[in-house]
Amino acid sequence: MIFTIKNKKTGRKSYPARVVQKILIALFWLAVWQVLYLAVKQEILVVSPVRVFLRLTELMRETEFWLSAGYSMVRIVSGFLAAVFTGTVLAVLTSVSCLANGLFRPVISIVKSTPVASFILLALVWIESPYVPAFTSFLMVLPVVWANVTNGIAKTDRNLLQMARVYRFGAAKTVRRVYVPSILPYFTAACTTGMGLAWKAGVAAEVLANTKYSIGGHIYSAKIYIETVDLFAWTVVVILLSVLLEWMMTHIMRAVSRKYSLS
Amino acid sequence: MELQIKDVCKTYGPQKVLDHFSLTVPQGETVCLFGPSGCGKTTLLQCIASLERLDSGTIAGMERQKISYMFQEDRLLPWISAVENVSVVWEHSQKEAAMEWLRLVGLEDAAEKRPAEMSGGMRQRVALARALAYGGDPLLLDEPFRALDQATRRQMMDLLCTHTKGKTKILVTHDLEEARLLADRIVYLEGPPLRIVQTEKIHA
Repeated sequence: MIFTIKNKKTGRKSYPARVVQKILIALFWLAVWQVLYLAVKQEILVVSPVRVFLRLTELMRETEFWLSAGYSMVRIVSGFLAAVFTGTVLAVLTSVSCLANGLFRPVISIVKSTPVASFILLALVWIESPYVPAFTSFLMVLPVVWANVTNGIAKTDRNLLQMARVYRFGAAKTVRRVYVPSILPYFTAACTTGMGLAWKAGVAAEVLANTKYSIGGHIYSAKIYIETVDLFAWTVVVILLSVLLEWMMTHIMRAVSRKYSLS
Repeated sequence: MELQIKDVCKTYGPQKVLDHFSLTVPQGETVCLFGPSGCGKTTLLQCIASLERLDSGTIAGMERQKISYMFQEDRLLPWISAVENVSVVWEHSQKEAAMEWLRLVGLEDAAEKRPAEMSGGMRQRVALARALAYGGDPLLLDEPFRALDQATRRQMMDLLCTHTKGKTKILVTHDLEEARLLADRIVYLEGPPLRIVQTEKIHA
């Protein structure tokens, strides 16, 4: 019954109904996990969700847990933000200049198709280990942002651009009134996808670089000492932080969309 | 200033749309371009508005002129309201003045609606309000009343005449009655390539 409660104006389910639905979905998947644990019956392969939860509460009492989670977040988010900025600037450059397009497009294509492990190992040779996760996140997100923003610029309605030209909007107004609102949906999609990629690649880099005070470093130790419960607990931390950042990202992008009257 | 279109050529791929086309429109005259779809009327308007590069020929009398162009499609910004779509043509937003233009086209109640929330006729009236609010001279009007019912069409024609006195207007229409009501001169066209078949003087 609760799933049928809808907002009359928007036609969407009410907020409490959506929260309850999400909780029920989470409980369903936790139950699947528990069933899998009971079926396998080998803690070294699958740990019970209860044990992971208890281990997490233990870890959260340690200062190192917060330091590791905090530093990982800073490294990955900084790589992500640098990629968003650079990707957007490159997209504008390659859209307006044939020379820049010819120069950068092959490089971005190479970055896009190179395996993440190759980048991590090369980065370990090139730069100091603490900077490898941010660098890896940067390289993974850059092509995604570039491709989406380039696509957004290309798909900007030519008719609206002609209208802007006739009514003498000028460059700044054309960008603010026509380009930005047109590109924003593509940019939002790039940021949401990119954030997930940044986490995956960043943590993978931390594992291979065995970075001090990092989630990846703890995952590496858990693997070395075959501490499956720790491996699960730190993986849950990665997932939770990723979900948290994605949620924040969605809200920031909604606020930006409102500023440009898109929602 | 007199608008002089002289020997203008424009080709799209193998198709010659304008082939040494010439037309002179004295300041303040309303010229109606009357001809079948696809003959090149819209291309001519786009060339006048400098939205298309000419292959050859000249268009004089438009230097530094502000042009009000009502396109065949409404071309409203979909992410802003009707009132913002009118005020957007000014350097500084003037909501009150934009509201006045919307009132004149009978849309004061729809001021906060976005284009997607309006009918085709309403959007066309917002586009007309925008073109008039901009105050350009000449006015290029490409089938400006196409989506309107008979009564609204008459109101909008009256509004156009009242607020654009003394301005040069080039109007594209497929409605001969509309052409006769608005124009000082009707230019009958055929094409492509666009060519003048006949000219009819309506008002002296």
